[in-house]
Amino acid sequence: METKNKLSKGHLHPITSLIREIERIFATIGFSIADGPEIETEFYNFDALNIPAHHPARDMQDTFWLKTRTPTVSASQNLKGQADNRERRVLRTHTSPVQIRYMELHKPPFRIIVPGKVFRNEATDATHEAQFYQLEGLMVDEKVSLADLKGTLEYFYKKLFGELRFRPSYFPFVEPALEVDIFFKDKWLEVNGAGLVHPKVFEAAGVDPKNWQGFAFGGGIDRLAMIKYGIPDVRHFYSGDLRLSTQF
Amino acid sequence: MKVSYTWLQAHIEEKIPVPEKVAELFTFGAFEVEHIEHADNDTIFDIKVLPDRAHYALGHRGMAYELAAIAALTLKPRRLENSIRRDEALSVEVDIRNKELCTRYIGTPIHGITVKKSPEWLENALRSIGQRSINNVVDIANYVMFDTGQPLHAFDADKVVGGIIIRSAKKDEHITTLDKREAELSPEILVIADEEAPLAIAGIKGGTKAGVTSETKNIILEAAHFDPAYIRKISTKLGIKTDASKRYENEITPEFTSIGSELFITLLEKEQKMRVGKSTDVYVKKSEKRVLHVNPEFISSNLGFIIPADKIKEILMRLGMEVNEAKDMWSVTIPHSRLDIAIPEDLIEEVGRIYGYEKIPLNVPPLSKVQEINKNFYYAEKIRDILVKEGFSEIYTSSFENKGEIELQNALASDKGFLRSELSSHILKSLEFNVHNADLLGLDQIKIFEIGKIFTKKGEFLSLAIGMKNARKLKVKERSVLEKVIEGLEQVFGAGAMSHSKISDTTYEIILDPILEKMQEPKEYDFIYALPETKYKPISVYPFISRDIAVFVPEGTTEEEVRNIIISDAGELLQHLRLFDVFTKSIDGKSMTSYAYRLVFQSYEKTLSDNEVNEITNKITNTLNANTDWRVR
Repeated sequence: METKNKLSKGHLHPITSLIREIERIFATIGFSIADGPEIETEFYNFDALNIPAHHPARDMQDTFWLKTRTPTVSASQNLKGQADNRERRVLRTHTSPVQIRYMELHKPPFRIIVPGKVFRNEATDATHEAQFYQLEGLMVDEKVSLADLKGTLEYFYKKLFGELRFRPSYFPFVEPALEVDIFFKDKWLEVNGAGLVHPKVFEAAGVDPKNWQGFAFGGGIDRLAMIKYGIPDVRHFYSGDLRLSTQF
Repeated sequence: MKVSYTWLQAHIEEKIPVPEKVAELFTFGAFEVEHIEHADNDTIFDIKVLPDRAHYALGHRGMAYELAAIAALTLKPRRLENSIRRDEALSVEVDIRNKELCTRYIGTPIHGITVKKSPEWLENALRSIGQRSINNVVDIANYVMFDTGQPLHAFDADKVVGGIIIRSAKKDEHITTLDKREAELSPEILVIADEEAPLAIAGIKGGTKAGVTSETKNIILEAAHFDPAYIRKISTKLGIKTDASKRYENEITPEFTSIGSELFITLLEKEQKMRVGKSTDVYVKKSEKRVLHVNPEFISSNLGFIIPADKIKEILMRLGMEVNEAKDMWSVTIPHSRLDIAIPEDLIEEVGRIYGYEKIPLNVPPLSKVQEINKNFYYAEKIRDILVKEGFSEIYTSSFENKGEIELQNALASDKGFLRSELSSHILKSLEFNVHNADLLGLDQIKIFEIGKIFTKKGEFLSLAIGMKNARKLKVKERSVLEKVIEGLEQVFGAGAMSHSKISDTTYEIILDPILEKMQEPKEYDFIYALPETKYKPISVYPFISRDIAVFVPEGTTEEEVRNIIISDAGELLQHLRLFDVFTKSIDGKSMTSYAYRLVFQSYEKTLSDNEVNEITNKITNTLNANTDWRVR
């Protein structure tokens, strides 16, 4: 039972708090925050990430397409990409387009994380929402290996949860591609996709894959918050219900 | 894909490990086993085959190839030889008119067959993976597909007029598919036709014109190869997805066509006498094995630890690759089936997953550069901290709306057809919603905000909306609270920075991008880091009931004393208790203090009735009144 008087101070949304924590942990190993638009072009969301049209990999993400070809980036955002207006627009299905946008504007080496909202055209239920937050990570340097990826992810997840393991998987923008599971409360839970940046992605972003290597990872932040706090329904996060926010 | 344990075993020389072990080997070596089902004398795995391995693993042979490579077992050689002497006089003409979309077609006439019930082994094999048995011809074709991954099709040869033509459909042509559906054809669609009409939608679905029936005596067997992007485009457009189209759209090697064809003949021959004609094989461009040049050191350095070169070679060979060691640069010849292996980087994954990802060491890369501070992030967090300090709580709401400037092409629901062009409408709804829960939340005022993207024809913008509503009659006006908060923000963002904006009695909204742009580059983040260690308390779906209790007690009695009695008597249905009024006055010469509480009751299991709550409050009242000089008002 709650007996405190809550008049004095407000509350951050639990996902905001988690993003702050993520920022704090990754800052200690040199990762900066990058961002990008929520409305993307087909090029940034798919083609540049080695997901061509008419490829079965496009089925892996249910996509919202827009009727209007609106500008993808607001004027004040310091990003390239007043992209070709003939291109079809989507609500970004992942934060991975920011990999391309960041690489177009910055010279390696760099390390970034991208916490941001993404969209999937899926029927909603307790574990699926049409909108959710994802955490993208990208490190590019002269030599980057799977050991660096594993070390970085373990450094992060150990602080929030427990140990991790890799399984083979497929994401067109990384090679090798891995699924990352974490061990939390006696169970292995799938939390991340990851891998080494595919040479075609480097090429699409204008980075020479002969000189640079990288790793990338991406996973749901909502899911981490659900696991961490025992929240059973992802839809609570977007209900505008203070019965959720005021608990945190 | 459904995979039978018994079927896998038939492809491997040694006894394969027990099903649970096989599932583990697959999951950590190649693909995720989503489900294991034990059936009579068999175990069925449901395996998630992703598009890269769908080139070769949508058949039991491909699965057995993987298992053999992962567990260092021996794949049995394919035995395709049969004693059939081909009747050279019997053949079928094959004319590929679109050599871009159909790159190989093998047509084989088989005469003098009897269409009948399938033998038991075949029925069982198909049933184990959830396929219905139809007749021996159709079943063998299906069996071959689920074994090799190569789709086959049989036409009734007596209903085919002239030869087989692979061509674009004509305008206004129609076809009735085997499942009795009418499909309208158009020139972008490729069909298998005879001289008269279409017999099948190429690679997707057969038609009734030359369909195999129980009367069929002579067939033409088709084993073909089609362009994957074309199959995907047309099967999506027609809304016809079949086991065959799924395999073609993932691209399979044209080398599979001859294997599929031969396996069909070998299996059918086991069942009956028949006359097999000459195969007409139109192979537009023979597929060559890919050769990759790779240095073993390249594989090790990408994995991040040293794997001995001979171990790398052994793994590649287990995967059916030929390795030629020339100094440091190896030439690795890739099997036809492995269309996913196109660049040297692809071999890193092959070696890594078979050697074992668990062997990869952990390395946190040493710091190379200082962190950059993200201005937008910095100032958005700053605003959050200011608002939280002022008693506002953060909410997230839906980016979708029933109206707006940017419309979706494929909305999830009719009331979610647009992207929001402002945050305020959701803030207003949220104020209304939360006011009803004010007692439960223990709040007199609902104070909320959201920071998020809004979408207009001009582009997307970062917006801030603040909402405030009194939950009961209070002297303080909402608008004045909002104005005070805006003043507080202007202390950071500059006087007048927030003025051009929408303010109403209960909401305020402003686009942040131009304001943030004018701000100085921050040096370091200074927001408050404190990850709450809260355990989430479930939200009850049942309504709550509020009751007020006020009691006079002799001055000097502590509030805690009163509170403890209430809590102890109220039991677990009491969700919230709040002291909302205290005063002291003289009654009959004694100085008495009044404590007034609001009690909120709610159940997780049902809707509480007034009577249930009255019983509890009566009990509390009685206990309070039992104290000397205490009096519930």
